[in-house]
Amino acid sequence: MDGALSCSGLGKKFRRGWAVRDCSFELPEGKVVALVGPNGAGKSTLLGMAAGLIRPTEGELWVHGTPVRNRTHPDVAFLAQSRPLYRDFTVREQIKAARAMNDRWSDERVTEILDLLAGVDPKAKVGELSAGARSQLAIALALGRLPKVLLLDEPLSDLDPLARDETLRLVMTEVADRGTTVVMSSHLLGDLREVCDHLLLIDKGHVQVDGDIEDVLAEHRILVGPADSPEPEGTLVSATRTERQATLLMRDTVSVPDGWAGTEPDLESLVMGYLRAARGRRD
Amino acid sequence: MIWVALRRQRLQLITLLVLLVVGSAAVLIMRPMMLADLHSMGLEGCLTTGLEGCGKPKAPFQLAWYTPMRAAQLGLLVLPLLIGLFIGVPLLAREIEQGTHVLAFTQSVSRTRWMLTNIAVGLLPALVLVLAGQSLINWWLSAAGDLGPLRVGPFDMNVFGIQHIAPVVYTLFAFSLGLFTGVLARRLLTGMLITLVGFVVLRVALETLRFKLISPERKITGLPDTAGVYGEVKQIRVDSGYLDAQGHVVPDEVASAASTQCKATSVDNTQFFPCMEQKGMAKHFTDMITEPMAGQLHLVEGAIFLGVTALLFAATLILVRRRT
Repeated sequence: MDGALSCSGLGKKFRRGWAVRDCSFELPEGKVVALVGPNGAGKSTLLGMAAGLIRPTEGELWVHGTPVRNRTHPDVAFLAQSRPLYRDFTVREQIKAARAMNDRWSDERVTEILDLLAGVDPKAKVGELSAGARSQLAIALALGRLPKVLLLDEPLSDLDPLARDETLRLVMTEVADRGTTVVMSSHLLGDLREVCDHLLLIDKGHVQVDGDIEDVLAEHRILVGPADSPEPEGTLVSATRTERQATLLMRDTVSVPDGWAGTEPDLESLVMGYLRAARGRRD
Repeated sequence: MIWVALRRQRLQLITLLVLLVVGSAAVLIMRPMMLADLHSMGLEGCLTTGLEGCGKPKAPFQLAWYTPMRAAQLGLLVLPLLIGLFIGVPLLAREIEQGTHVLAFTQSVSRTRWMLTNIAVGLLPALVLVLAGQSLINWWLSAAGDLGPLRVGPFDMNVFGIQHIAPVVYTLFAFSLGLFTGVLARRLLTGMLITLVGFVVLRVALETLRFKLISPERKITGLPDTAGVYGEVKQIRVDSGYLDAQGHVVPDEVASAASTQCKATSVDNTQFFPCMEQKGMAKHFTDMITEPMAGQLHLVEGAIFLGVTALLFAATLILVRRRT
């Protein structure tokens, strides 16, 4: 399998059921991939499997063509949603610990990143840092591994707008400098649009959309028309209806029928449409 | 990786070091003081007299020294459990509880190496403390001979537990149990509770079964019984009874019925024993676990604890490798 991160027939079953099922995709190298989906869609499980943390029940996963098997691939770095760090260590000790646990490591890279971010004192206890500084330290440690694939699980949650902006810039610099492939799960669609160029949308453990964001957006149309007119041709993703008006998110619509107004969705409305459909299926 | 383990267990390691220094200093000070008292009270001749009197009042010496010696002995007895509770349980459970195992599992180091390094860093210093404590405390206690807590012999539960390989195997068992329950429960308190119960249950179980673990030495005498072992505290009488002329054990109920009949017809032992012999009780036997067999008993019991320890380590490794 080519691609920075690819999988085939990937599935994970927990006691309560399948979290990810029959997932196959191939993420191109050097892209920033937005991994989106409703809560419980399987995003964290998918990232955990890609990180070698969770053992798949079925299927295979590859990083740059080499299979991921029950340990973190040397080219992968993973930032878990809980930002695991030793809270009673100082920042300096935490960096030393990460260096001690890695074969390939760059102190320069970590210092460079932390220097970019004002306010992380090396002598401060990790547990006393703000949530933003902790996230940034965790990302710096992930980048210290010099990864080719960086997996970030909700890297922007708990961050104030300034820290969010700093974090995203950090990721963008990494991509620009080293051509790292980044897979980022997040609910903050507005922020994702700025940095992501590839979309992987999953729901109930299945891939719903996988593709270059521009292409994906071009494949979809938001159609607004009278509530009583028949549905246009194409695949209906989701619909919201009022008494007089229907708003439809359509995929592969050939043409906009008479009486309907068609526009290309932005990322936010596209994802919202899919999330709404997911909720509809759940209810 | 060793540095990470050392740094994470800094508090425990400092505590072990303080215990080692303070404990050693205490024994090194107490023992000469005790010997000086022993000398000044003229009790040197009482060290090997057992329960017999030695012509000198022992009470003032024992009043002064029995409590500190007993405290040291009990300290050594509970040390393995404390190591299991406060070093074994938190070693991996604290990482899992705080989620930092995810950090370790997503670096280059393998889970097996991560676990083994943590175990080595937690366990080896603990074993050093136990071995040092065992040597020093036994050195002190044995200087008090029959005037101290060792007078009850190697099979007393409080003596057995501080001698030979017992402290080390109890420590290994408590540590591995703590490690396993901590990883299984993923919570410190639950892990500590299960460890406490598990440790006490196996210790008590083997304490109860201990003398069934090895085959005793049989002493055979004619009637009446002249083995003279009843008053001896340093060995254990496992069983006793009568043998018939062929040397087979006479069942207890048969012997007891014969004894009842003979007692009814006998005035004293000169009539009682011939009566018993007439009824087929040719010899008397006593099954003993004697003092020199203590080492063998330690090895058998130790092997059981070590077997359980190995299983617990293996089970922990499986849990760690499956942990997400």
